[in-house]
Amino acid sequence: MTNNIAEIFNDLKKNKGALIGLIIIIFFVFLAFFGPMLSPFSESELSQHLLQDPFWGSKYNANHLLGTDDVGRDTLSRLLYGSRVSLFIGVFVTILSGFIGTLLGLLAGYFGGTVDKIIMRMIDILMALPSILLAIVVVSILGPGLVNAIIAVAIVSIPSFTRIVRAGVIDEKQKQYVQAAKTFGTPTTQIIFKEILPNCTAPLIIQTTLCFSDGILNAAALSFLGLGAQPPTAEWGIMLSDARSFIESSPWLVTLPGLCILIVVLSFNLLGDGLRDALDPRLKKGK
Amino acid sequence: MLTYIFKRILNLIPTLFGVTVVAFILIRLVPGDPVMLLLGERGADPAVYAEMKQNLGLDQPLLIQYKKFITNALQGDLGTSLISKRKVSEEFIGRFGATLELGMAALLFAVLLGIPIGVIAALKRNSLIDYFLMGTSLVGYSMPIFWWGIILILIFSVTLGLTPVSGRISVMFEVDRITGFMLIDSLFSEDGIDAFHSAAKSIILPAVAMGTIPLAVTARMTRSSMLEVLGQDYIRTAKAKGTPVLKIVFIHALRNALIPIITVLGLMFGSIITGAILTETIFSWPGIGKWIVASINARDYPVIQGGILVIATMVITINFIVDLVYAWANPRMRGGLK
Amino acid sequence: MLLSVKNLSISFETDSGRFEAVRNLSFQLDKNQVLGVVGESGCGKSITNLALMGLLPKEAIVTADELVFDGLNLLELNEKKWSVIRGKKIGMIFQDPMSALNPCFTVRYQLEEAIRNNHLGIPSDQIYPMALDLLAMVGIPDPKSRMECYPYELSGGMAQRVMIAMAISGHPKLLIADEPTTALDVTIQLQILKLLKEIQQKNNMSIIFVSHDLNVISKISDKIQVMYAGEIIETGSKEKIIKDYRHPYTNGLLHSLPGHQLHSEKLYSIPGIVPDLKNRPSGCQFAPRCQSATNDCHQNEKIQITNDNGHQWRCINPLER
Repeated sequence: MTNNIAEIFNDLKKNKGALIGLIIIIFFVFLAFFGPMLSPFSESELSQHLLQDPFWGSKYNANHLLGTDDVGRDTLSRLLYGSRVSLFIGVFVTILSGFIGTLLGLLAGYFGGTVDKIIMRMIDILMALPSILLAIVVVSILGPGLVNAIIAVAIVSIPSFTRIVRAGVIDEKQKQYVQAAKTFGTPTTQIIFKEILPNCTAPLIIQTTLCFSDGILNAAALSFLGLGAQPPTAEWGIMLSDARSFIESSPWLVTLPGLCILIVVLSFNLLGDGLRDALDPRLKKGK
Repeated sequence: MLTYIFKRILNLIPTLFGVTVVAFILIRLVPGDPVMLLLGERGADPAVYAEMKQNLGLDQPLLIQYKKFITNALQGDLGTSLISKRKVSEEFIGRFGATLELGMAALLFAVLLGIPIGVIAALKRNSLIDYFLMGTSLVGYSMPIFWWGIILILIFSVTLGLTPVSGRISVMFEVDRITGFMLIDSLFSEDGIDAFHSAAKSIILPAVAMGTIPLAVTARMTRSSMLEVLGQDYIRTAKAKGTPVLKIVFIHALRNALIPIITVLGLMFGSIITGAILTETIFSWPGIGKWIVASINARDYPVIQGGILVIATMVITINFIVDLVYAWANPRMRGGLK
Repeated sequence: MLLSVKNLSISFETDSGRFEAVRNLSFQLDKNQVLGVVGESGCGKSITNLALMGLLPKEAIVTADELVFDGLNLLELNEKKWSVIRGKKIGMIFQDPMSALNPCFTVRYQLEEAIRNNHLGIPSDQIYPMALDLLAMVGIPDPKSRMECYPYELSGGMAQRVMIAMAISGHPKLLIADEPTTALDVTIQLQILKLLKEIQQKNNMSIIFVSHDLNVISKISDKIQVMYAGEIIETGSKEKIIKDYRHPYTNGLLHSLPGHQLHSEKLYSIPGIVPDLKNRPSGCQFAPRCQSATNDCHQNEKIQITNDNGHQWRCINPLER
């Protein structure tokens, strides 16, 4: 397995896009951890300088490298705090949906029959509802807020995990080593988690990366619609929607948070693409 | 073929049934009492309250309520909006044209640009052109469209003044509703071509914003599908029999490559609705997306319930149609259906 | 003479270095002649054919002292000029007819397209009758109804007949048949071989027939060429190769055929594996698997070709006759 990971990493190194993605992600995680220490102000600290431009603009105040918003909060500091919120969202959405989705996929794939039918019917229903709409409805039931937005986005992300794992399990289940394990009387849970699941790792790794970027994107959209994290939290989606009214006077105030979302989402997608290229030939070779 | 379609329809029924249950239950999970909400803040006289509850059928057991909900829904009655007091179905139909028009414009933008981009990238694979096209596509794929819409407004409306900031047409024009498609209806208005011009200008930005992710998906899918097809034996055969390159690419290869692309385009319908919710909010486009967001904010439950039901049914129906088109586009499947 | 190849080499650049798939290949083909090319998979026979059609991938590096077909220097052709050759002067059929036909189009579409490509400016009302004639010629019963079939509706043998009809639609002077019978049932194999021979005689066409199966090759060829690791190691008339072979590899190939084993031995198989072309052995390429190899075989980089009235072999210790 370690050998495998080393090989995958070698393939990744050759893929420039994936490497760039990985570097940005590491930088982003670094900012999320140390950003608040690095940032010149706290996320809610007010100054008298309202709607200042970033350093390349004309209305620039030396204290605020990337300018300030309409109540005088420092944009750079808020962006740095926002990276922490986004990472938090990404991690929890992925863990939550990955865990539930994988479990459902394992059950459906391994047991088949009625269990499979019930689970997949539920997944079909989830998939029939466009992701943001479903998330909005869930939030409207649970009430707006960061945690509820995470739960809503996680629910939306479950189907892709379930489908991937289920397909992998059905494939793997027929292989001889699983049949052999069954005849030896290995307990079912052990077969599922020790024999089958490890063989679904590759597609799961790819899906995890994609879930991360989708989660961040969807949660930001919810916040933008006023249904996610609530002000005054420094969240990129909220910063964006707050700044909409000042689009003419301070265009950078809208531009920067969106750019941050784009860059983070893009870097995860770059990594996901790279992983797919690195893992796919392996997947094919295995078959 | 008919039996196949029939079988597929039978398969749809449990999912559709599930959707109605979900729509029904979700709304009843919402904290708070809809009757109180309906009566507003005036405070409720217990007698009025009881009467209201009875009128809404909320005093009945859940199963009876569900049965009523289904019976009404099947007859096209989705209830009455708490806010506008109008029938949900009427309001829905009134707004559907706007969303459909925008969605079609977005999809057209995505397909007309995405397929050529994908084909070019596949033909020039691993060249600078390919890297550029696919890099741009990945950026498009990662785009937060609520931000992208604002940036488009910032550039084309605020800075360059080329397009209106919001709405379907300038308020200067009066257009009667005929088809629900502004681009068509405007032509029949008094100002004819001028009104059309205004409507066309209004739809460009939202269509681009909404079409960006589908465009990226189409381009990426077309490229990988083309690459796979170009490596097939029958392409070698076409070359060996002296077929001109353009014909090989656009007839022999693209015809086969389109089969998986059709599926992806169909699955994109869900993301078009997602796009509509965000795009319509940004561009004040009077369609279903904006309406549902507004209804959720206003806790207009019959609208939310009806909206979920209709949208989910549409997604399921479209997926079903896509399956049929897919089967039709693939001779092997088509033969199997005979 | 129809085709003359002198010192043809084809190499590929890969991440793990450059390798020569075909090296210093020289052979000639006369009009009306059937040349059988035999060898294990990866010996370079298919790649040589693709080079004759200009169908190699762009990464391939082709060099030759001479590569002349029907008076045309193939080395100088650009993509546009190749269209004069493909289909019109050289036709080609492949191993798996089912995947060689486009699954999305009917037989009629694909056949008519070939006719249109190869007879520029043909009046459109002549195309369909011509297509019908071709299908009849390749022995397809009820051509009219077959015309409207999609490839998946055809059997393998039927599909290969359609491929042949397409390949000969331009009356090419040469037909390259790349393992055309390998994917087919034995009984169908014989029918296709017979059909190819018939057409070859009727149309005064030459054929390069490639197969890994010496049995099949010997049924159709006038001349046989044995390839190993991208080189020709023995060539001669059919009779010479089958009965008077000199190279130990030819010997091995013959004895690994069912029905050709000596006495009541088990079916013979040549020991060892084909050399890694990225890491070629020195000397004779077959030496590591050859039972009569000497030190010289392993070291001599310039093994001479022995020529006995057109029967040629490249071996230091040939079988004695």
